[in-house]
Amino acid sequence: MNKSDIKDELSDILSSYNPTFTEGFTERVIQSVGVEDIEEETEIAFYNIFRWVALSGVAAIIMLLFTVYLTEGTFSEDAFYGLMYYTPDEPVITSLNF
Amino acid sequence: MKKEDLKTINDINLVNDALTGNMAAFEAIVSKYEPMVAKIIIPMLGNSYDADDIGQETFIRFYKSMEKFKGESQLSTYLARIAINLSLNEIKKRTKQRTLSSDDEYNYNMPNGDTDESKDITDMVNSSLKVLDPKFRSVIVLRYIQGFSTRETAGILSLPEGTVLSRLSRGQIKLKEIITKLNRI
Repeated sequence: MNKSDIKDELSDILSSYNPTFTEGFTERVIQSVGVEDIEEETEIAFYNIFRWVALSGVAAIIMLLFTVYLTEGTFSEDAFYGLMYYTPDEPVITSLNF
Repeated sequence: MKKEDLKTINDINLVNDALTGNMAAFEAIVSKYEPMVAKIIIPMLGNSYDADDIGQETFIRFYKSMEKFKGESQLSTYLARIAINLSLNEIKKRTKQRTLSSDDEYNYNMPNGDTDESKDITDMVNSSLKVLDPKFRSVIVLRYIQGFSTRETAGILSLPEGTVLSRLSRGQIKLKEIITKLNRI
């Protein structure tokens, strides 16, 4: 049997070959797409919330740094803790005043 | 717009409608191309629940990447590329699972001769194709079962046309041998 005969014979068989998906395939696809859409929308909503929370956090930190620098004139550790003008005697003086 | 009207609209317009959120247009695309996608995935994977899942995945992937479809290639070729790639990935996954597990679930079984003639050609072709190496199977499926041209088949599989022709030639001989072994011809 030559190649052409094989090809013809296979073509005969394959022309009758007609596989199909199970019933209701289209409906299941549409349903799945709907679920995917909802999941995607939820994901986008969470991402947007996270982005706004993160941006607010960054803005608050920048404002804090700006305020500290304006009031104390430095970014030292003491400036952040509010201990720039603190002296070791201060608790004693405070107690005496009380 | 009625469903009947959607069937007469050409593919690019259907895609554009679907992109605006018209689910009826997307449904029309799925209905129109479901038989074509089935004729790629089922001979590649066999008639199983997996085949249905991969079919669904094909359309979901298309839905997600629909805006990339500009109509430069035919929608059938575009969907065929997604379907064949997902099928080949699934075959790779099954092969990996088969080597990791002693479970016989994924072993290919040569069909015995107890099915009646009417039940049939579809089962017989599915069973015969399962035995064929995936690289020959994909070419036979696209070229003979789906009816794509050699050039289209080469484009879908990202292979040179010469490779497609040689795989086709060797694949058809191997497939014929398998079918003959099964005494089906």
